[in-house]
Amino acid sequence: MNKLLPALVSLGIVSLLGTFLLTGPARQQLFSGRSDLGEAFSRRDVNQNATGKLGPGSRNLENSAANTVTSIVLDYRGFDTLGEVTVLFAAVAGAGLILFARRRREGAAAATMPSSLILKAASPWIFLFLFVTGFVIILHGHLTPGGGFPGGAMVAAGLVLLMASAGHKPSGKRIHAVEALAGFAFVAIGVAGVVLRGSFLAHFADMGALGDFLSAPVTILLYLVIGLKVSAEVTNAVSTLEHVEEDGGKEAP
Amino acid sequence: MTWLVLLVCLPIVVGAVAVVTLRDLLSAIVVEGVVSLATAILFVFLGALDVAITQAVVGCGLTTAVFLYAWRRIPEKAREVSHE
Repeated sequence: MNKLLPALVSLGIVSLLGTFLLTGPARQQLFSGRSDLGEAFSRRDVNQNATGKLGPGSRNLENSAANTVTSIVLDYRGFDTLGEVTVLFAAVAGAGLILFARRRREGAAAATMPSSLILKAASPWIFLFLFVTGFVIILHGHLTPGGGFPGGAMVAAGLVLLMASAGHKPSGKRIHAVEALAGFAFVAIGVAGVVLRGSFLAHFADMGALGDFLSAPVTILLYLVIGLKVSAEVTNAVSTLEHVEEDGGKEAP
Repeated sequence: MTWLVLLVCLPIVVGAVAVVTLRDLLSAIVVEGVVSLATAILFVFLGALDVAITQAVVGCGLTTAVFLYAWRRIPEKAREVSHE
């Protein structure tokens, strides 16, 4: 049972992601490059502002992310977003610094309440849906509302739920590796812009057509990196919180 | 539209008052999550979909989870707030 459940959950993740990609609008995106959702969104958001001039499929744009908010956050104000990610990192690092002094020693028993049956039974399946939805939101950040920050938080919420139900601690090393690599990748993408186009975070790849799944490729990469970083950071923060030494309520409340 | 927004604002206001006045901390945490959810719905009506998603995930999900972790550390006696 202990090994069956993780296997089932990972199988479920793979099949759900596969269904998302191979049926309905997503299949269209993969095989014809056109996305219904992105098209509808660009029709609503862009056409209102530039009637008759721009629309789904427009090429050679300054930025072809159908979601205008994303095009501002990750392109025109991409450097601000790097600062925002750094602020999140500093906040988590600061909280970790305070809690680190009170961490529970390795092997010490956790004096927490046992998880209820409902939580134990339901959490793997809720985790599955949160995980898949989170990554779909991250990967569609340039087309539809959402993106790396809420998507990453959703993935982290799933991991926190799993942590609360099973009581296990996710591997700190792995979380730190994901976080560090994601932070490095953000800067690396920015530097690639300097090398190829002469300015930090410049769009160095082909923009593609407005509303396509593969439009604004640098924006997709940046949001993927941000999503991974946010999910790793939030999971790390909550897992530190979870593993603080019990004080037994000696201090007055 | 105005009535719809006002209808969504009602649970926000009632919930916000309830969070402050409730004696049981666990109930207060859950009501706080409901207030966040209503705020997210309000954002949807106002057309701010990006903000709505963030509000639903962070306000309703993660903040409630972090509060619950903190609640577990509070000794049993202190879980009920006495007003004065």
